[in-house]
Amino acid sequence: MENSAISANSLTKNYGDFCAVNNVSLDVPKGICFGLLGPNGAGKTTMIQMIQASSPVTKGELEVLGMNTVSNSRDIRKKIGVIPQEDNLDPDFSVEYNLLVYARYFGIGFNEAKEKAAELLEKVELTDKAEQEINNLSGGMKRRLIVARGMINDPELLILDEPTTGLDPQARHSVWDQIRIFKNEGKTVLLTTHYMDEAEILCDQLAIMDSGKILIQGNPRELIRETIGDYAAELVALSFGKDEKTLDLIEKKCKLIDVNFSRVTDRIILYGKEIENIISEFKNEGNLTDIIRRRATLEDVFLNLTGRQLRD
Amino acid sequence: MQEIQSVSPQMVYAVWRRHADVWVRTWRTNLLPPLVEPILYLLGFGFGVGAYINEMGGVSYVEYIAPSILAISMMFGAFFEATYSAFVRMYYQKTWQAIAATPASASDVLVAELIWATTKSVTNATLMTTAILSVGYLVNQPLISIHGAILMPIIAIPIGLMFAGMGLILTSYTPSIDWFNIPFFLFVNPMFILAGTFFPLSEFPPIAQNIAMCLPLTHAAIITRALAYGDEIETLIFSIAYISVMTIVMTYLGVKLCLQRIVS
Repeated sequence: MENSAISANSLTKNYGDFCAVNNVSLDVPKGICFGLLGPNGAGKTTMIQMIQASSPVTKGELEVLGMNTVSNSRDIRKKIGVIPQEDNLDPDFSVEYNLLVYARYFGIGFNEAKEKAAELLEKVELTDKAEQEINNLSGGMKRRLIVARGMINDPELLILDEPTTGLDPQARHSVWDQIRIFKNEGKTVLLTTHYMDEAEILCDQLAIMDSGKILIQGNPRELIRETIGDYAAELVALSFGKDEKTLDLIEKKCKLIDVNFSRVTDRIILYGKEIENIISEFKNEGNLTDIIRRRATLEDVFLNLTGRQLRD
Repeated sequence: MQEIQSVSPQMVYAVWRRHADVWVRTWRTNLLPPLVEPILYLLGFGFGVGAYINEMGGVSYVEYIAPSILAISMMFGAFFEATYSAFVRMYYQKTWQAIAATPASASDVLVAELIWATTKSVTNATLMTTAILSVGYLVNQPLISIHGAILMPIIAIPIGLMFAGMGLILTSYTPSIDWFNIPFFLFVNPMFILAGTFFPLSEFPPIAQNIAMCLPLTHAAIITRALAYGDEIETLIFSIAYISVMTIVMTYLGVKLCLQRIVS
């Protein structure tokens, strides 16, 4: 497809007997920010490795920027920028030299690379650190440098694997800004994240994966509306013990009238149209500590889809 | 799959340049060992221990060990780089991973590792040859022939490649950086002592001689010795054949096995 940045057709990836990506079809149009969400082990990183044409596809077809990942891997990597999960900057080089060495892999000449590096360092506000050693940088600065490095070749598609994990709010917003600026130039962004607020804010479209499959896909606001509705309410019983009985009662009621809810330690979260009915029935219940009305979030959708049990 | 494993000379050069850049940035520490080590060996063993030895293999002891330490340094240069250093780049610094996200392929990265490790053999051989020639000049005793000195960096290429390939084979397997100690203690260090380097193989019982003739360092030392003394090349046919075959087999396996580890 001409207008697709990424187009996967029945994509499968096996590691020995283990199926990391299972028959996934996906279409990411050009010019949007697409989020790939899912718990650990869902297959996100495997997807990204196949998309950046560094890991072979087991079955199915995958086209990136109109090129096949099997036959055109070099050409694809020439036109994409990858921002990996882990810090893999070169500790032996200065900030600027990291960019210059990286530019060489893209066949960018020294003078051009020097100009480009200056421009990017300015963009991520690291100009005054250009001569610094990598070990003298904070985590946020390293991340910004990795983002700059991923853009050294003027990519058409930027792939970010958990770009803001472990960052302070300032650094996080700085990374978000770079993503928005990049997208505003009409280019495509593919992003994985564990932060649902981040996905909701940045992504035009997203897919939630689990166990190698895509569970749902669409615009974040619409996904929330379609799956659990716009609003949620939390009925909280902070002290355990006899309050548990109240929560049991609410749970029973919810099941009876078929309300979408989820029970978490000290509270029941309600979704959908019946919220107010349930609240009015139980609001005078003395054992409830609090009733919180709020907008339903992507995190609600995510936890409802993938469950609350911990992943390895 | 086919394209993922193709090799582009341009990309190999870009990756090699990265390693060379690191070397240049830390040149002071890098120059020291290959210059100081031979002087220590020549002084301590050659002139010190050598004072008690009339001759070894038909020459003075210091002349006997000069080509040996050249062969040893070619081995260590490539082997160390393709094991410990390569593992640091692969596992700790994730340099390979960073490069694999660019037009360079995993095969480019590995071929560049081989060539870089070989480069270390060549620089070691060059620096050491210079140091040995200088010591020889100072004591007024030419320790290696001039034309041998010129050929040392060249013969370091196949010898370096062979050891680099062996190193990559180990790197493809090693579970941790400490594990490299095992092949170093069981294979490299014994070779260092027993490959005809500090005394001639003829001192050994025949069976031990045959075992020693299977060791790669033995043949490297035979060749550097012949070059140092200006001997006829014809006597080296077997050693040259051994190193040629080993170089091809080891580099091929090293790249292939490492690819299996990093491209999955």
